[in-house]
Amino acid sequence: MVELLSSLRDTVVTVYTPLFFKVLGEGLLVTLQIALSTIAISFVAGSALAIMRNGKNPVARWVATIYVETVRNIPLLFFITMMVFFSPFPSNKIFNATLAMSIFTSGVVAEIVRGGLNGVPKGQWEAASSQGFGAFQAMVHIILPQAYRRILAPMIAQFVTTIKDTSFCAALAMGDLYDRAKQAINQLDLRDHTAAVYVTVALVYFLVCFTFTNLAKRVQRSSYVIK
Amino acid sequence: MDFFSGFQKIFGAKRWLELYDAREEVIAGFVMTVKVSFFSLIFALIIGVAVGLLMATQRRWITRACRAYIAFFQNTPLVIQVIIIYLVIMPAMGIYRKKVEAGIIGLSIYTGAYCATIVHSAIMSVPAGQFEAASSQGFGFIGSMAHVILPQAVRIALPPLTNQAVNLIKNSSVLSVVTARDLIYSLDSIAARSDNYGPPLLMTGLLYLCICLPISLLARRLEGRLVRHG
Repeated sequence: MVELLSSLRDTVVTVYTPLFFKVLGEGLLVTLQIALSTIAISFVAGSALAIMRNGKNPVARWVATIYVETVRNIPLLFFITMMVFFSPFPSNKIFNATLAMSIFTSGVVAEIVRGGLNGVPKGQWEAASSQGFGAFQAMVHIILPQAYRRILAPMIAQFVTTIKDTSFCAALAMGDLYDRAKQAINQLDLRDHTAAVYVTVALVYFLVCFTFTNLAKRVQRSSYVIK
Repeated sequence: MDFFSGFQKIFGAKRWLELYDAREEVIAGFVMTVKVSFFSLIFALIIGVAVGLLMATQRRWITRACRAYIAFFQNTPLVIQVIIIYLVIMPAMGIYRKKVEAGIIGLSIYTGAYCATIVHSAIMSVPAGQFEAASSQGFGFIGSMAHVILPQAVRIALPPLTNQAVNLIKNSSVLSVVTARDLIYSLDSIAARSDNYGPPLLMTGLLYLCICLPISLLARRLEGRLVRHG
C-alpha cells in the first residue's frame, strides 16, 4: 500500500509539471480551433447542401444527394489520408485537417439541417408567399430561422463529435491535444508514465465534451427549441 | 499537358496494375474491417441491451453507474480509448501487442454506450401502462421486459441502431491508428511502399461505400416504415 502510494506520488510529481500542462493547453487550443472552424464551415456548406437536396432543381438535388450519401458512408480517416496525398498546401497541417474534417462533417450537418427544414410546417411557406415573399426571401427570412432554432441542440452535439474526431488527425501531426500528448511523452521523457498522460488527456477531452453535451441537453429542454 | 502527365503519374494504367498486384493486401484489409465490425457490433448490441435494461430497473445506484458509463464513453474520443486499452489496460493485465483485440474492445464499449442510450429511450417510449398491465398478469421484471416491453421497443430502436452500425464500420478505421491491418491501413502501406496512392485511395473509398451504403439505405427504409405505421 505504501509502495503503491509512493509510486503514485512519483508519477504525479514527474508528469504534472507546468510545462506538461502548457503543452496540453496548447494542444487543446488547436483542437478547439480546428473543431470550431470545421463546424462553422460545415454549417454553411451543410445548409447549402440541405437546401439543394430539398429544392426543385434536379441537378442540384442530385449533386447534393450524391455528395451527402458518399461522404456519410466513408470514414473520416479516408479524407484525412486523402489530404496527406492530395493537399493543395501540404505544409499547412491545420488547414489540411480542417479541410478534411469539413468535407466529412458538412455531409453530416447537411442531414441535420435537412431534418430541421423538414420540421418547419408547410403552412409557413404558404404564409410567406401570401405576404409577397419570393422563394429565396421566404427561405432566408421565414424558414431557415425556424429550422436553425430546431437544430441548435443537435448542432452542439455535432460540435462535440467534431472535437472527438480531431484525434483521428494523428496522421497529419498538426499539434492537437492527442498529438501534443504523444510529443510530451517523447520530449518530456514520460515513457514510464504513458498511463498517466493518456488518462489525463482523456479527462481533458471529457471535461470539454461533457460541458457541451450538457449544454446541448439544456438547450433541448429549454423553451428556445420549438418541439 | 502538365496536368495530363501528372494525372498519368497518379492514375495511369501502370498504377492500376500495381494495385492489382497488391490485391491480396487490400482483400485482407477488407476482410479485417468486416470481421472487426461484425464482432464489435454484436458485442456493442449486447452491452447496449444490457445497460439499457439495467437503466430500466430504476434502482438509483444502478442507473447512476450506467449514466456514468455512457457519459464517459460518449464524451471521450474513440482513438484515446483504444490507445488507453492498447497501451495501458492490456499491458497491465499482461496482454501485449493485441492490436485487433484492443480495437474490438474499444469499438464495442464506445458503440455500446450509444446503443444503450437508444435502447433505453426505446424502452421509455413504450407506455408505462404496458408494464403495469404485464405486472398485473403476473409477469416479473424480466418476464415483462422479454415478452411485452422489448418486442415493442425493438421497432423503435431498430432504425437508430442500424445507423450506429454504419458509424461503427466507419469508426473501425481506428484500427489503423494502432497500426492494425484494416482497410485504411492497406491503402497506407501500399502508398508508402510503391508511392502509388491514386487507385488505392479510390478503391478504399469504394469498398467502404459498398459496406456502408446498403446499411444506410436499410436504416432509411426502417425509419420510413416507422413514420408511416407509427
